[in-house]
Amino acid sequence: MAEEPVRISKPKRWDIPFGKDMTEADVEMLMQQAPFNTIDASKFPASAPLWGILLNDAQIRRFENGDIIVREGDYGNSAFFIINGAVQVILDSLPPRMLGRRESQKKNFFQSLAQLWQRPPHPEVRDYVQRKAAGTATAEVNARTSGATATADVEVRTSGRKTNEVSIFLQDVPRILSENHTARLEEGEMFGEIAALGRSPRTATVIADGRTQLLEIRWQGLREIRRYAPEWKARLDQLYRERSLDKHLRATEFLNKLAPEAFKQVFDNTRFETYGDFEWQSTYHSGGDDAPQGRLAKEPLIFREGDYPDGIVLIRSGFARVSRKYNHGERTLRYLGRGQFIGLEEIASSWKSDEVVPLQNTLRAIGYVDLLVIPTAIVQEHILPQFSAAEIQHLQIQPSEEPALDLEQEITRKLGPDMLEFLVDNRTINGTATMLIDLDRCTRCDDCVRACASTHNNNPRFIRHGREMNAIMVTNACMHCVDPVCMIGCPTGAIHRESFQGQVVINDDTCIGCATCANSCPYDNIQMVDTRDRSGFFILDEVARTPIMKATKCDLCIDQLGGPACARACPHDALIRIDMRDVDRLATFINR
Amino acid sequence: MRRLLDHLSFKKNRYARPTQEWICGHTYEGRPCPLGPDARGGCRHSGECFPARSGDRWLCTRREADGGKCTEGPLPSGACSHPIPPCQPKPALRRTRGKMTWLVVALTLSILLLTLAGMSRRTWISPGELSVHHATSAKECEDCHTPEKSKPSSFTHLAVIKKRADEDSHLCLKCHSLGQQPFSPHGAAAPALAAFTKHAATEKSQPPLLLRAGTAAASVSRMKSGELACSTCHQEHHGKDFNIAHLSETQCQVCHRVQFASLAKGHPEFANYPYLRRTRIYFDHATHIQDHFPAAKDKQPTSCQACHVPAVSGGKMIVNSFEQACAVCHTDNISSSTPVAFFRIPGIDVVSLARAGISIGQWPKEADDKLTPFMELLLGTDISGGKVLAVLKGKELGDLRSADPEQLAAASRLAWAVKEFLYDFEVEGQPFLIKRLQEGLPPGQSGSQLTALTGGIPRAGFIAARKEWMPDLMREVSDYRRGVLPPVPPVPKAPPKPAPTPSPAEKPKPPPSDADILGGAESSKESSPPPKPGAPPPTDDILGGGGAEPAKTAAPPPKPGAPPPTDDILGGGAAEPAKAAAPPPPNPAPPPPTRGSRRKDKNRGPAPEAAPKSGEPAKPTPEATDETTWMATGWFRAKDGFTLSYRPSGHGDPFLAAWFNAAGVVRSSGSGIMQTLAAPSGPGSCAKCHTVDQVPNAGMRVNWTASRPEANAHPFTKFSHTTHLSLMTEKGCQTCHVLNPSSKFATFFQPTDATDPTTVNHDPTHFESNFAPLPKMQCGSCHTPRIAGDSCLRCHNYHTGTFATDMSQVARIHPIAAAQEKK
Amino acid sequence: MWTGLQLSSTAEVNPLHLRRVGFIAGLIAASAIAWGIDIVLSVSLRQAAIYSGFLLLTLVLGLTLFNSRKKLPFLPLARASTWLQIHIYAGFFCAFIFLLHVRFSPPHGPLETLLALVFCVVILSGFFGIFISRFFPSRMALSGEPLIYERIPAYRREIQENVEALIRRAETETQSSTLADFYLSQLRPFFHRLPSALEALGGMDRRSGRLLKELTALNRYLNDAEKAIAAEMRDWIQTTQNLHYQYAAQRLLKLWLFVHIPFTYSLILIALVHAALALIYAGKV
Repeated sequence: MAEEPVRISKPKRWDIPFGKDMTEADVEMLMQQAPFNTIDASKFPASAPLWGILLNDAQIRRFENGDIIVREGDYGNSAFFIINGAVQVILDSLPPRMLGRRESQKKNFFQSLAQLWQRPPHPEVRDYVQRKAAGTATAEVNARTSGATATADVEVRTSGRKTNEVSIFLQDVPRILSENHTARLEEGEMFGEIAALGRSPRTATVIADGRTQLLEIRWQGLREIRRYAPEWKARLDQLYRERSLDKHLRATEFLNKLAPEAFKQVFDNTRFETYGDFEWQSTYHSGGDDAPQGRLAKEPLIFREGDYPDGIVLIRSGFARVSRKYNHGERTLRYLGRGQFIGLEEIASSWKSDEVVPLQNTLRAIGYVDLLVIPTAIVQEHILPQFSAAEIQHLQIQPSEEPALDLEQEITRKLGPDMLEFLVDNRTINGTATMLIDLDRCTRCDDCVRACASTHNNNPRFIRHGREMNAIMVTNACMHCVDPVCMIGCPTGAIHRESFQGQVVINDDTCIGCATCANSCPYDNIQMVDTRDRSGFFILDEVARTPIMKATKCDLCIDQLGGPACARACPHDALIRIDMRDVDRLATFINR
Repeated sequence: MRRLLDHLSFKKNRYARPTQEWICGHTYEGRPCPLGPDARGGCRHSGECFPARSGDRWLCTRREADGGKCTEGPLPSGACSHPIPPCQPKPALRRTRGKMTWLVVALTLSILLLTLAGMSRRTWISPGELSVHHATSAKECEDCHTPEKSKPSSFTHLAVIKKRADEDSHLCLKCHSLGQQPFSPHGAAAPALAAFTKHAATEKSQPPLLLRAGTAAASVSRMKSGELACSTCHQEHHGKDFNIAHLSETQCQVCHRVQFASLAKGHPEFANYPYLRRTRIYFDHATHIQDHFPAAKDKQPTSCQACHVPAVSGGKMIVNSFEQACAVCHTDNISSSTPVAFFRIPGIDVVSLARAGISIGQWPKEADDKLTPFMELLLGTDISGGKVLAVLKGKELGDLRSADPEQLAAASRLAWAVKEFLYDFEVEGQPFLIKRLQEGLPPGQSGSQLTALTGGIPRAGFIAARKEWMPDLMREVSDYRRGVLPPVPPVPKAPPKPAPTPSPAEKPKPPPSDADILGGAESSKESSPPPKPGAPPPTDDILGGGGAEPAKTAAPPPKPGAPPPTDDILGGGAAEPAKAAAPPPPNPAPPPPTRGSRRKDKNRGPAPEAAPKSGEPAKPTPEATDETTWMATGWFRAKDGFTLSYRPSGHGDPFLAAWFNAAGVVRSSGSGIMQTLAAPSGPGSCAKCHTVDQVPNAGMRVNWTASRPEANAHPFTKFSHTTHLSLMTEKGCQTCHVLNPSSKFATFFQPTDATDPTTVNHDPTHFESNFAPLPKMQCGSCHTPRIAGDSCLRCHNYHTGTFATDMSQVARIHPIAAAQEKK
Repeated sequence: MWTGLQLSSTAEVNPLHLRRVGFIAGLIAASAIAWGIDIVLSVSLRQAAIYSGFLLLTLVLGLTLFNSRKKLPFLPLARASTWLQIHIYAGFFCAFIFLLHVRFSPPHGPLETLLALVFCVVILSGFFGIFISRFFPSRMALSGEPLIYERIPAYRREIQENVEALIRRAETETQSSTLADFYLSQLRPFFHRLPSALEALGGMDRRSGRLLKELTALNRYLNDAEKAIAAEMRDWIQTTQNLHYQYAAQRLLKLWLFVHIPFTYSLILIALVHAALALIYAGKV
């Protein structure tokens, strides 16, 4: 008990504002002009007043002509409102080189090596003197669009006002505009909300069209506004649908090759449907361990086996479970993720034939799922004619076959039915870097944990336990989900997507230890830890007298040279980090 | 499955921290305290929470993970009501492992320290027992490893740079002497090796693959100057029973130019093995077996073993002695062989000398023959070595009319040398001869040899002969040595047949009838103008005064009393047999006897061409009986002849053998002797069977015996007859040694020019064997890996040459010997 | 593919099997080559032992690097599994070279004997390690839920508390002492005492089997409430059995390194001394 524990006030939301030089004046200015002046500020709660939101969750940013505002594929957590000027949305994908992609900040060799001796002896040691500095630094970093490397197509320029603000701009904008489909957005419009609200990567690259002034609102702020200002909700949803629809349809292969007018037809007639709860993890948690039937019952039904197929169903986001009756139960055949679709075969089979082929499978929403439905009529009228006879033949379901040897069979055969059920039930399918341990090979040597600890300042970032099936253990480590529900509700945005590779990481400096993410994570993969000072004592909150807590989780060794240390450290090939969408790799790992 | 223990909920979990060095003692009771031990493993017990103050009350701040707020709440003091009792933190498993590692390391280090620094260091670092042969002799490392001072610097030097093997090899030589160049391959000299290699280069070789690879990898020279360290082949410290001499045939061949798989496959054919040189004894198996033995039915040997028996060593076969093997047929043709003319008064043309005004004093006119080669050696270096003989070369001493003054001088010098020889021998005896031989022969002649050379020569016989030849010699020589020369005799116009000057040779002639014992006295009375001063008293006469008288009167001899009286008696004695041989000498008929004697002299003379003519050996014997004067054994002089000859007593005559050996090594003047003796029909006809080898820069060597196993010889190829005798077929020795009748065996022993015995072949390597050379497969049929083994070392020695293992050094090392030394 | 699910119909070959075959082939080849070279060297009258010795020393040092790699997980060195594979097969190779080096016969010198012994300890412990690392994991997986070794004490305590709570409940709720008596006489020691490794690993833990039978036998004295509790107790017994197995197995899997690693360093030390002596006395290549 040599020294007194360090005492500081527990960090709160807005401790670190989104833009560090957002001033009251700016807020006032905004409040005066549309559309903010139309918002009824009284609807906002005292905890999150509109001006507070604008002050802390928003910032004003200025761009020169050709500046890249957002880049397709980036995981942004903010939306942009055009104060003045205009922007061009490039609907086609630009080559990454043109976008000046950068590698995330990795340690260099010596920094890495230094971890050998710089490791503190105690767990969860934080150096708060450094933290202050680091905090501002990160704020700055957030303030940027991105750091950039000069390439042939892009240049880095620092605009005069903020020397630390770096922006990328494209040369020869006219050429780019002429070569690609673009959409021009004028003053008063907004963009980026899809990524902001859907926790999805940016769907398009947006560049400034002439001098432009934007209000960037991070998604926590946007969420609040959406919640308390109905007209905004309507508007947002409207935008949200249109833009994502266009983008999404184009992303779908067999729609992409349609003739323009046919595409137009599809575009106009596509329905939007949403199943399940946007914040599904709460319900999931409550029913974590109950029986499969119960779980199935909980999952919202999209359509049922034997129904009349009323259209092709495309998954926009979230997951859906494809199942089929099996004696007294239902057997899961596969799961559909973003960009996958179902129902084409049935429609194709019943096309130009008197008897109708009913839906072969049942489709359920796993948690929250966003769907596009292309009505049967449209399909038969505009889509099927585009197919060759052979393709139709291939698509059609022969009633004789029982059951049809199709993809369901394929994937079930690869993973084994029970494994598939297991993965879907536990929603492991959500993971892009799920840690699986083959218990038939794992000698419990803890090398993975130790490696993790030594790459994270002597702190492991996962626990070597978890649910297992057929000696495959889904380890208690962050899966870096396709649909990272943990990010919902983080008051400070400390938990965010790494801009390029999309790892979900927590910015320790801005984390306030509110445990929201830990609670949201359906997989208990986020741990709350008590921070300590160098002498190993807890850092106590002056008031609450509880140790300052931080949310911690696997960051896929984002700043390490070799990538995830756990996988590299396993001497027995028992541990992998795997993207659950890569069924082949998964199957190989399971069946070896 | 139902989970009973493991809870996934983050609320109930903490990270497992396997990297922590210390674990809270309460972990083992299932309740680790949240704070945990400090870095040094001390307990930092505290409360379960740090109560918070709100207004005037304290609130429990225990979290859900630790069981949520407690019912009691904090104590009034504000301390937690659930203080965590102090614990004894436990080290984590890995920390224990680390400690254990250090422990083991420390243990190892201490063991190493104890063993390497301790007393018994040597036993510890010894990599293993020595083979039995070395176990007793090598006690300390330094016995075989060159000692080094143990400085760290030198340590690294040793460990990294220095090649120890070279020096160490020299230590091996303390016990093992391996000849002149112990480390050169096969102990052969560099030139020899070069020669072998050169020869091998011409051979073609088909090495098996392994051998090819080995050769490629081999570094043939591991020591400077292409020498090989002993350790190259002999690895020690592999235990008592390890055979450190073993080498596989591939290993043997790695250095070789010609390589092959095995004896059967690739080993070169035997050139003329085992017949590597001319036989030392000229014995023609072909003729003997085919002609002579059938001819002499009763005497022929029953089998090879009659002459050949295995040596004790079992290796070689040795030939039985002359007596056992040859004598039965070959004894008589030694005794009956021609005698050797040893000493002679050469004939000198006194008249011509006199005409030139040169006086040589008394000289028998009848003497008219050459010097013997023995005399050339005995007359002293000034004659043999000096110009005298050179000047007189090709000049007939007997006729000096056309001689130039120089030759005349030389002739007189020669004459005086002869006289002085007789004088000195008479005065000094054998020591004088030995002195002369020592001058004449190359140094290093052993006393026994010299004795053998001179021992047989009868002094008395010489004296007696001298008295007959030159009665006044003693005075003349002493005068001559004083510088007083005898008067030059008057020279008649006509070539003088009967010399007018009174010569002692005629003295006995006038009174031959009464020439009895007192004859000497008679003559002394009657001779009116005797040049001798003072008539000797009669007593002297009895004692053969002629001989004794000058001993008293003449110039005192160098050594007073050198001729002891016994000599005189002997001298007399020596005269007796002469009388007995011819009781009443017949009336003077000098010419025929002299002529006869002269002719006889010729026959006996060393003139070689005479040898073949006097074919039948029986001839001289009858003459010898009546006309020769026998002196010592084997020595005789023809009646009033001028030659002292020697006839060998029988096989292995020591005198002749000695001179034969001496002649081999003697310088230029000896060649004559050698020619005399080495002629197949020469005296004793030794050379008929005993070959004479020309040894490079060591003169000639007579092979007195057939080949014998020589001690300490390490030939390249080794073979043991005894072990193979069991393999003989009914053909007996001819199983392997097949007679080769067509061989030109004999031609390499006989002179190429029948008329000139000097043309005899003296080169032992220039020969052809009686037997067909051994075909390789004769050995190869049995010496296969399966049957008798065909490894190189089975038939070959690596260390070749002639050397004895010198064990004198071992005494220092060998514990037992050393112990005895101490006593 | 229509659904964008990327599936390939290639028949899976177990990559691990492929790797094993490859390594074994390599091992055999390497050993053969090494043997050949050794023979050639001895034929060429070189000191083959010096070469094999150098190789051996290098191998041992190289094998030790595996440990250092484990301490540097943050450097982009190759995957630990690759290291382990190399470590294992290089180990086998090492053993073979060792045999070559000692000429397939025990050494003679005391120091050499010591060295050989330590070498054998290390190599054999290594072989043992491979064996148990391949033998136990699957059995542990079958035995029951995987448990983290460090937590086992806590789990045991939890079990004990739960079980006692259960018994107390049985007493209070059912006013019968059947289960309580059985607990005191039979179960308590089972829950409180850790079995020896042999007991736990040697096939099945007999005690638990017997206890389960006896528990079933008790059924005749139990009412439904007690039966429910008995069923729960059954779970706890099985859980405990699994815990015992997990504990013993994991302990063994950790303890073998207590031999392998310390003696490696001892081996290196002695080997260095041996090498120095050999170079000093036996001479050079």
